[in-house]
Amino acid sequence: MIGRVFAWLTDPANWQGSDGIAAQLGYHLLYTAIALAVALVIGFPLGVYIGHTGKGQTVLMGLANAARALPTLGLLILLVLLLAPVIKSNLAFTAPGLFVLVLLAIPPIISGTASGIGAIDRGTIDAARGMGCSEWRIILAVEIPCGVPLIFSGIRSGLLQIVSTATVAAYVSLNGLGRFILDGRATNNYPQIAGGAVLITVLAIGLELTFAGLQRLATSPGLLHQAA
Amino acid sequence: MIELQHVTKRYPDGTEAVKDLSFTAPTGQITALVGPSGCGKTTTLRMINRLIEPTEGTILLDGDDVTRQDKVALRRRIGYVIQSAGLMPHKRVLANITTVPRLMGVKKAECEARARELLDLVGLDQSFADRFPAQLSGGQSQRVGVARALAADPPFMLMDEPFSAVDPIVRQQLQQEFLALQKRVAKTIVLVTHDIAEALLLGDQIVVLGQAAAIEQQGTPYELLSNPANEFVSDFLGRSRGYQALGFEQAGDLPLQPGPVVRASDLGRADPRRWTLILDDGGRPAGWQRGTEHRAAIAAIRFPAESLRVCLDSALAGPSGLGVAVDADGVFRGTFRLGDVLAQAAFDSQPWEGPQ
Amino acid sequence: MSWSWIPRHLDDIWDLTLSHLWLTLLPTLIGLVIAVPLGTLAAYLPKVKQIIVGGFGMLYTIPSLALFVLLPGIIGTKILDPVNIVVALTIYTVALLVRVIADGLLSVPPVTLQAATGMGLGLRQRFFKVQLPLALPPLISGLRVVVVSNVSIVTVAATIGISQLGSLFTMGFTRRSFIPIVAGLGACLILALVLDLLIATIGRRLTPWVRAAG
Repeated sequence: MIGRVFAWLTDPANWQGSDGIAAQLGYHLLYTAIALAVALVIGFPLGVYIGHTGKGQTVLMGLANAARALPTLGLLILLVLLLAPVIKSNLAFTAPGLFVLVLLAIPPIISGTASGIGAIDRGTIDAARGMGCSEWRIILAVEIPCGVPLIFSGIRSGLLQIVSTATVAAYVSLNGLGRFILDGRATNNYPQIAGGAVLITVLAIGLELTFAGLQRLATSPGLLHQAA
Repeated sequence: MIELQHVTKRYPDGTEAVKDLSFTAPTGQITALVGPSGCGKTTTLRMINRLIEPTEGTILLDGDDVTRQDKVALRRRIGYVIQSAGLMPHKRVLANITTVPRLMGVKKAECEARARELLDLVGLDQSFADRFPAQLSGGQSQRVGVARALAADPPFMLMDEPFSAVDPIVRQQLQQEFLALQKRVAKTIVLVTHDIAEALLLGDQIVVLGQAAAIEQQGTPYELLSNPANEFVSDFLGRSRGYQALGFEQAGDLPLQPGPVVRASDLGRADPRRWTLILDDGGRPAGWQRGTEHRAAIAAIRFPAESLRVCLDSALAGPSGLGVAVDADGVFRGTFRLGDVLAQAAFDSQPWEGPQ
Repeated sequence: MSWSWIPRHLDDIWDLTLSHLWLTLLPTLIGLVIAVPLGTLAAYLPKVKQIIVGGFGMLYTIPSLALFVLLPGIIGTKILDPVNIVVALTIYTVALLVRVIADGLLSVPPVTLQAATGMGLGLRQRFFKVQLPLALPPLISGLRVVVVSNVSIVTVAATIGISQLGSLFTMGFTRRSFIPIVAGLGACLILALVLDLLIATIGRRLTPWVRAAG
């Protein structure tokens, strides 16, 4: 069994072509990158605002809980059905898919950022303000650098959500590595199903490790001492 | 000089944290705001650098109205030290100290040279420069906090319970060092504390605040101790205020007597029935002796004495009611009598002549 | 398809809800039973903690659909076997709870533990009567997060043909009707809400001191 999965993964024919592994991997990465970028553009400033001002905490908590309870598959299919008649062309499937990916990644990014900033010792911020740091400087030079660990853990869980949901999105005809699982399921080709699953696993773990590494680079050693 | 004129802070719900407060913090001196928790002393402090905006009244820094200045520029003229130091955890000590001068555009090398001087000034070894705040003890953090506040050489300093987060022994040490530091830098300081002993020790002037920052009494430590304005103040000063007051009373011309004293080599000549002070070869007191009894502890004080309180301490600590005076090198100058100290302390007292 | 589809198929929806309930509760409970000893071990042995928490963290990273279809190749089940879903969700549950339990046990103040020892409690008594109960509040909130997200993850299994409430979504997609989808979303949300409340209520019963502290 493992041999057949390995054979599928290493067969050059499976890597080429417009729906080969290379192309689907590319799609998967592309969707992930777009969704994460959009989610960051929306979620990060909101998280900074909530963390800095302390406003909207309760709304945020409710939002994050609701997002967890909402089944992604249902949301995805519902949006495709609702938007498909509105959007002509190929985008009819891609746009709702991307929309859901973004939607799901926003709450963890907001709450990670807000709690990262909210968790900073009030004395540090009070002292910075009292010394004559402007609000912008407090945000950029104190709050964001000190919040890095939690901000990143929010981004990482958003990323995980995106990669995972992008896989499921193959069900609504979106491209990406999930295709191999669902197409393999339709033709009862287990090596292809498992091969696709292995690729997704490697991709997810690879991205997770990459971001963990980025986090380490972005975290001041002073904050690591603090945790110890 | 920092002047508060009829300053009021009223919150939207109508509560008044500070009501019609006026006082002046003289240039180059420490003004201690002291009062129970919730009396509005911290609110008062934070209105000076506009972390809280006053509702009414005027605050002047060397004559300039603080509300007419840009908040950020204003704060850079005022050093700010808070209880937990509030250092930035992601920056090393040197970067923490140079924050404000760097913001003001001073060159990095220049800032760092100055920061290294400040480390010396606050009594920290240069090796601390590259540490992170998490690697410092509470006392060390507080020293860095003070250095940071002094970095841009601001004429004013605001200190909010600066020494209350450290243990009592470190606190005493920091307070003493801070006084020595202030002698050199002579900043105009407003210091908030709930600890009356700290206010008495550090304040050139003390403002005792009650509810809504109402001034219960304002004056020098000696004025407060010798003449508390009301029950609130005397309660706040506590039981030993009479004794503490002696700490601010000049020792005056306390008469010194040359004995009883004997060189260690001439011990045999001492009167075995009375306590005699023994001096070593350098002329420094080495202990008390009476016959075969010996006491090594001598509460010798330097003369002229800084206050009557230390004289009283010394005389009470000696075995025969004699205090020991030495010069700056620790060489014996004379002894003084408990009775003379008490006579000075009671100089102004009148005998009670019964009900009139 | 019209809205009357829902009342006409209440029986079917109820059956799917029951399957969904099993697929959610079973892995949650098994996961809890596994996570308590593992978390305890992790709390007492920092090196083991790294391995357990790190290892399960990696497993947690695997997207659910991939894990559902990888398991048959590893444990020898059929691809349509609900056991795959149970095992996969058990892994996620353990991954989340191990950390919560270890951190919860470690967050009990040493003074409290010393006091318990001073009163004459043995190590085992101290663990079951003092340390574990005090770690319950974070464990309960962790469990609530787990159960709610498990309700959501189970639905994904519909894409490979395992029936539960998620099947209403796939049905809606093939028939191009959002009525079953709305029904499925509603049922999922209610199920998540009920399970969340249930655990919260049990948690309150077990930790009366939390409310007393306000």
